[in-house]
Amino acid sequence: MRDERAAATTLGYALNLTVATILISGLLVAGGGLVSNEREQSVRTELRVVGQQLSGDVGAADRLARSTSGSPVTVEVTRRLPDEIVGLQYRIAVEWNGGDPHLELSTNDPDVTVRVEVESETTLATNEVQGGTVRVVYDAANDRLEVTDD
Amino acid sequence: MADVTGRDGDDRHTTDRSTADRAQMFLIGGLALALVLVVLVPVLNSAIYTENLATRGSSGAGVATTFQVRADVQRGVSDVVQQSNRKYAAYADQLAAVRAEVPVLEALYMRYDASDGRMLSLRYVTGSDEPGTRIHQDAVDDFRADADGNSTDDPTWTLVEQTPVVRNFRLAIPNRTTLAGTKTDAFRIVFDRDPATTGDERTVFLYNDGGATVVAVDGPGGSLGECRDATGAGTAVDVTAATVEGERCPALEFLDDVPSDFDVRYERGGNATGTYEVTVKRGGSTSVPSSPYASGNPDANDAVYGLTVHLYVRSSDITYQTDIRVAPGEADA
Repeated sequence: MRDERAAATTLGYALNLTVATILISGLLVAGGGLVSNEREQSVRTELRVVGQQLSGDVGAADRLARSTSGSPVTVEVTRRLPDEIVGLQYRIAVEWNGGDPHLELSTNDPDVTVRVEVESETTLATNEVQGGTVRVVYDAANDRLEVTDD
Repeated sequence: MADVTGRDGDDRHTTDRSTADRAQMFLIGGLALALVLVVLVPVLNSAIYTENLATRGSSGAGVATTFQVRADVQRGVSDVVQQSNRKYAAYADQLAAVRAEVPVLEALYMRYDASDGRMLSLRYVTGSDEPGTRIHQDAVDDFRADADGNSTDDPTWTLVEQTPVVRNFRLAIPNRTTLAGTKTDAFRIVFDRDPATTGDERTVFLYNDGGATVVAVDGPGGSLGECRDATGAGTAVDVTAATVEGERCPALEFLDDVPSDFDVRYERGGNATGTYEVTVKRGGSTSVPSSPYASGNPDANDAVYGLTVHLYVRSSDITYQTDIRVAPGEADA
C-alpha cells in the first residue's frame, strides 16, 4: 500500500514544503512590513518632536529680538538636535511664506515630510539646514532671524 | 518488550525523515522571524528616545529666565538711580555714584546667575546719561508757590517749561476735605504744549465730590474720563503710573499722547494740600524757573533722569545682548 502511494508521497512532501515555505515567507513579509511601518511612524513622530522644539526656539528668539525696540540687540539661541533620526539623515527647511512661517523637516528613505508651524513676527530667512546642532541668530542689519548650522 | 513508540516498524525511516524536514522549516522560519523582530527593536528604541526628548525642558525656560534677568537688571539700576538722586545734591556726584554702583550690581548678578550656568556682563553706556530736575514738596502744604518773587505764594505757577518728558509724578493728599468741592474750583495740573494757545492742554482736576476724591482728566477733544476714590481720609495719585490709590485709572494714561516739550503748570494751588514729587527731563529747550523753589518748599534739585546700560547674558543655549534704558517711574519705561 505504501509503495503504491510513493508518487503521491513525494508530491505530498513537495506540497507540504511549498505551503510551509509560503506560509513562513508570508509571515516574514508581514514582519518586514511591520518593521517598515513602525520605522516610518517613528520617523514621523521624531521629526514632529524635533520640529516643535525648533519652532519653540524660533518663537523664543523672536520674542528676545523684539524685546528692545530701537536699540541694537544680539540674540543667539542654540539647540542640540539629534544628528540622526532612526539612523537617517534629515533636513530642515525654513520658509517665511510671506507671513505664514513654517518648518519642513524631511528624510529621504523612507520619504517622510513633516510640516510644523512657527510663531514669529520677525521675518525668517528662507534656508535649509542639516540636522544636528542648530542656531537661531537674529540678523540686526536685515531685521530677520536666520536658522543656521553650527 | 512491547513497542510503545507508536510507529509502524516498516516506515520508521520515512517518518523520521519527514519529521526532520518539518522541524527544519519551522526552525529557519522561526529564526528569520526572530531576526525581523530584533531589527524592529532599534527602531522602537529610537522612538522611545524621541519621546524622552520631547519631555525635556526646551530652551523656552531659558528665554523666560533671560527676560527675568533683564527685568531684574532694569529694576536694580532704577533703584540705584533713585537712591543716588536722593543721596547727593550735585548732578555730577549723582552720576558718579550710579556709575560706581553698576559694576557692584554686575558682580552681584553674576554671582547669582553663575549658579544657574549663566554669565552676564553689565556696563554703563558712556554719554547716555539724561540730566533732569526733581521737584518735590515733602512737607504737607498747599500747592502754591511764589512764582513772581514777590514773597507771596501764587495759586497759579509753572513748575517747568518745555520739558520733553516727566517721570515719577506722584501726589499725596492726606485729607480730601482740603480739596475744592466742585470741578470749576478744583486744583488742576496742566500739561501745556504751547502756553500762548489755548485748547491744546491736558488737565488733571483733583476735587472732593461728597466724600470721594475725583481725579478727572480733560484733553483737547473733551473729557478723557475720571476716577473716584472714597477709601480712607486721603488719596494718593500717581500720574505717570496712571493709578489712583493703587488702582489703575485709564483716564491718566494720557501722558504718552502729550507731544514733546510741554509746560507743567499748577492752577488753583490753594485748593489742595499735601505732598508731591516729579522728576522732569532737561531737554534742549527746558527751563526750570528759579523763584518758586527759592524758599525750599517746594524744592528743585538736580537729578539723573535716566541712563542706558548695556547687558550681555550668555548661557549654554542663549546669547543675548542689548541696551536697556533705565528711567524709573516713566510711563513707558
